[in-house]
Amino acid sequence: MGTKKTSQSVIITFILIFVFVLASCAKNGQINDIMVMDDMSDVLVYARLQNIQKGDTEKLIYAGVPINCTFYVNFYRECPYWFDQRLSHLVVRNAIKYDNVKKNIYVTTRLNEKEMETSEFRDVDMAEVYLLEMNGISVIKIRALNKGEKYYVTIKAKIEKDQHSRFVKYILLFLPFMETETNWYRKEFIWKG
Amino acid sequence: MERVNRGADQHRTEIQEAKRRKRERILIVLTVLIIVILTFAENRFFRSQVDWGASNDFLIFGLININIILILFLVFLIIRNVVKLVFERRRGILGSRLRTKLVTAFVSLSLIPTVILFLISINFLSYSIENWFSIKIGDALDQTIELAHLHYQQTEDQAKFYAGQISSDITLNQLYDQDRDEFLVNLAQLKQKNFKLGYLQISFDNREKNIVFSDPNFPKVPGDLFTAKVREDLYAGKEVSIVKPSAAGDVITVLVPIYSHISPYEVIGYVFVGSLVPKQIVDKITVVSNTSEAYSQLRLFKNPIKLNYIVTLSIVTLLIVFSATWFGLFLAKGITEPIQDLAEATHKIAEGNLDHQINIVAEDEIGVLVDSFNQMTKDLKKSKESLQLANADLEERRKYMEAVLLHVSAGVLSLDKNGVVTTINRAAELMLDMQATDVLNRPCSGMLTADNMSVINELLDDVSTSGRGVVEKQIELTIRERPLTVLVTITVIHESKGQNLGMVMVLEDLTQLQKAERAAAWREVARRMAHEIKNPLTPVQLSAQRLQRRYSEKLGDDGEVFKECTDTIISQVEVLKNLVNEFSRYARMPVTTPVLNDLNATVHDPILLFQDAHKEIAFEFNPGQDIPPLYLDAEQIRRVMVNLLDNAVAAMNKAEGRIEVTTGYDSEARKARVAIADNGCGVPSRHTTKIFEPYFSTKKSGTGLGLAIVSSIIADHNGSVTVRANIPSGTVVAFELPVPEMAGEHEEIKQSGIG
Repeated sequence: MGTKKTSQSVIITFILIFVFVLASCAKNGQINDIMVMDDMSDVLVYARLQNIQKGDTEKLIYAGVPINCTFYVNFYRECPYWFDQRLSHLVVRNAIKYDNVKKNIYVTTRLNEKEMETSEFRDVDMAEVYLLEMNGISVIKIRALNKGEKYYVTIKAKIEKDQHSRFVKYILLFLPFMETETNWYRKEFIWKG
Repeated sequence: MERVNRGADQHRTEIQEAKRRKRERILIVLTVLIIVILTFAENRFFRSQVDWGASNDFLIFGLININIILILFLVFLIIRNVVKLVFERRRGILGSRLRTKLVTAFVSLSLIPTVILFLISINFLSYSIENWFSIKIGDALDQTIELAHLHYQQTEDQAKFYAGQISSDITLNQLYDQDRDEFLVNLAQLKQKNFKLGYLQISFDNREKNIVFSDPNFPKVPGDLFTAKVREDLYAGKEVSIVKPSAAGDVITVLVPIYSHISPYEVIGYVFVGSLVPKQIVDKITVVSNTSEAYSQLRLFKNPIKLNYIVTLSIVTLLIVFSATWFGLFLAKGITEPIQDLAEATHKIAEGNLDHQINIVAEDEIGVLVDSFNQMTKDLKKSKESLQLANADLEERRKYMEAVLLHVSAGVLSLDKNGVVTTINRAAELMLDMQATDVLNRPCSGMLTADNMSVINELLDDVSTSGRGVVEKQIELTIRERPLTVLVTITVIHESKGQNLGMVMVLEDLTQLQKAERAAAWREVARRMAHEIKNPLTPVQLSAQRLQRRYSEKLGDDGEVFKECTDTIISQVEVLKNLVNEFSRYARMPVTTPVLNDLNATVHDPILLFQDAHKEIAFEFNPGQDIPPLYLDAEQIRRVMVNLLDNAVAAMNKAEGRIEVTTGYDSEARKARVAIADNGCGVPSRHTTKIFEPYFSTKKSGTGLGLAIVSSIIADHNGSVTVRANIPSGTVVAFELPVPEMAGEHEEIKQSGIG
C-alpha cells in the first residue's frame, strides 16, 4: 500500500514537473507587420519578429554560435462549409553566422531547406534585423488562386540555437528557457485579380 | 484467546513489514540502475553528432528530469530509512543501536573520503577551467585571427590599389576610346604582369567585349558576383570587394569603377582585379578560425560547463553517499535481523512459547547460532514436556494421597521438624473441631487448648525420648466440652539419609466405639442383673405379703410393727422390681425398624402430652421447615423425646419454667436436628461426659438409664446426641439424625412440584 502511494506520488511529481517545464517554455515574441500581397505572378509574404528577449544573443553570435530564426508559413483557402484547405506550407529559415577572420556576419536564407541567398553584414544590429525578417517570400503562385475567394496566411516564428554547435550541449538543460516560439498569427487575403 | 490473536496480528505485521522492506530494497536497486542507465543515455545523446530532430530537447530534458526525480526518490527512500532507524533507536527496539553504529560507520567511511575527493575535484576542475581560459591563450588566438584578417585585408587593399591605378591610367589617358584599344590592351597586359595579378578584367558599358588577362592557375571567376547590390554600389562610385571560396583557395575580387575623363563622376566601366589566397593558407586560417571560434564559445559557456561538471560530480557523490548509506543499512540489517530474531525468540521462549523457531537460512556463524538456538529450543521443549508429565504424575499421586487422607476415617496431621502443621485432613478437622486454614503452617502448640496440648505434648516427649520413632497411646481430650477418646499414633519421618523431616500424627476416634462397648457391657450387666435379681424378688415379695397376711393379726401389738416392716419389704421389692424392669427394658431394647416418617409430627406428640401434664411449664415448639421425611422408628423417637422432656421437667426448679423444642434441617450436612432447651438447673460440666452412661443420674429417684436409652436409640438411628449448657441457664440436649439420599431426592422433587 505504502509503495503504491509512493509510486503515485512519484508519477504525479513527474507530471507536475513536466507541466511546469512546458509552461516555463512560454511563448513570447510577436510577429508584426505581416503583409500579404501579389506581384502579378506570386503571392508574397512579409513579416517581422519583434519583442523577443535577446539576452546574450550578440555574445553568442560573436562566439560563432549559429542562431536560426525559422518562419513557418501556411497558406489556406477558406471553405465556408468544410475544413479550410491548406494550399501551401513553407519553412523559411534565416541563419546568422559570424566569420571571425573576415569580421563579417552572414545571414543565409533557406526556403524549405534550399538556400536562397546569403547576405553579408558588418554590423550585428543590421544582421539581427535581417535575421528576424521575412521579405517577400513567395508563398503560392497567383494562378493557383480564384478571383474573389477568401484566403489567409498563418505564420509562426521560432528562434533557436543551432544545437550542433559543440558546446551548446553544456547548456542544454537551460535551452528551453532561452528559446522563443511565437503563437500562430493569421492574416486574411483576398485576390481581386 | 486474546493473546493468540495478538500473536497472530504481530506475525501478520512482521510479514507485511518484511515484504515492504523487500519492495523498498528492490526499488532502491532499480532506481540506482535506472539513474546509471539514464545518465549513460544522456551522455550518449550529448556526445552524439546525429540529429535527433525536434524531439531531442524534450527527450534529453525528460531524461534529466527523470534522473532528478529518481535521485530525489532515492534520497527520500534512504532518508526515510535513516529517520526510521532514528525512531527505532529512540523506541529502544532491539538491534537498532547496532544498526545505527554500522550505518554511521559506513556513512563516515564513505562520506569523509567522498566529500574530500569531491572538494578536491571541484577545486581542481575550477582551477583547470580557469586555466583553459587564461588570457594568454585567448590573446594568442585573437592575435592569430587578427593576423589572418590582416592578410585578407592587405590582399584586398592591394587589389584595390592596383585596380585603382589601372582605373586612373585609363581615365587619364582616355584609353576607353575605341581607337586606343591597342594601348589599353598593352597597358592591361603590362599591369597584369608587373603587379602579378591573378586576374584582370577591364569592362566598359559601351563595349560588348571585355579585356581579360589572367594567370593560368587562377580559378574560374564565379558568375554570381554581380548581384544587384554589387552593381548598385559600383555605379554609385564605391569600390566593391567580394571574397568567394574556390577549389584553389579564397578568391578576393575587387571591383573599382572607371570614370570618364570629361565627366569625372560618370562611371563608364570597371576594373575587376582578382587575387587568390592559396588553399594551403586558407586551410590553416580555417583551422585557426575554428579553434578561435571554439575557444570563444568555450569561454562563453565557461560557467555552464563548470556547473555541468559540478552537477555531475555532485550526483556521483550523492549516489556514492546514498549507496553507502543504503549498503550500510542493508548490511546492518543483515547482521542485526538475526540478532533481533534471536532476541525476540528468547523473549518468546521466556514467555513459555517453546514452539517458536527462527526461520533464517544462513551459511555463516549466524546460521550456526540460529541452528544451535533452534536445537536448544527443541531440547527445552522436550525437557519441559517430560517435566510436565512428571509433574502431572506427581500431581495425580498427590491428589490420590489427598483423597485417601480426605476419606480415611482416622485424622491425620503432619508436622515438620519445627512442630509446624504442614498437613491436616478432613477427619482430623472434624475430630478436633478446627479449620485447616486456622492451623496450617502454624505451630501445633496453638491448635488445641492448654489441657489438650499438655496431653499431646506428653506424647511428643515420649516420641523424642523413646528413640523408637513411634508412639501409640489412647488419650482423652475434651473438644468444646465434648469428651473425645482418641488413639494417637505418632510416627517420626526420616528421609533416606536419616534426616528428620518431622512427624505424622494419626488420630483414631474411639469415642463411639467405646460408648458402644460400654453400652453393650451395661446391657449385659442389666440383662444378668434382671435375670439374677428379678427371679428372687417375686418370692420375696410374695413371702412378705404372706407373712403380713398370716402373722400381722396374730402378733398383737407387734403386729403394727410387723405390718410396717413387711409393707416396707413389699414396697422396696416393688421398687427393686421396677428397677429390674427398667434394666430389663434397657437390656432388651427392641430392634429399630425405621420407616419414612415426619420428624416434626413424631416430636410434637410427646410435647402435647407433657404440656397437658405440666401446666406450670411453658412448652414451645418451633418446627423447622423443609425437613424431608426421615427413616426413623417413630415409637423409639417418641421414647427419646419422653426421656429428654422428663429430664427437662425434672430440672425445673423455678416458677417460670420454659422448655423450647426446636427442629431443623442442615441441607449441606444432610442432617435433621432436634434441640430441647430448658432453663432449669443445668448439668455441671464435669458430668457431661458421663450423663449418657447407664446408671448415672443427678436425680434422687432416677435410675440413670433414661439418657443411656436415648443415646442407644439415637445411635441405632446412626445419629448423635450432644449436651451443652443453655445461656443464661439450663441445658440444651440435641440429637441429630442423618437424612438419607432418597429422602433428600424426595424433598427436591416435592419442592420442584414435579412429584
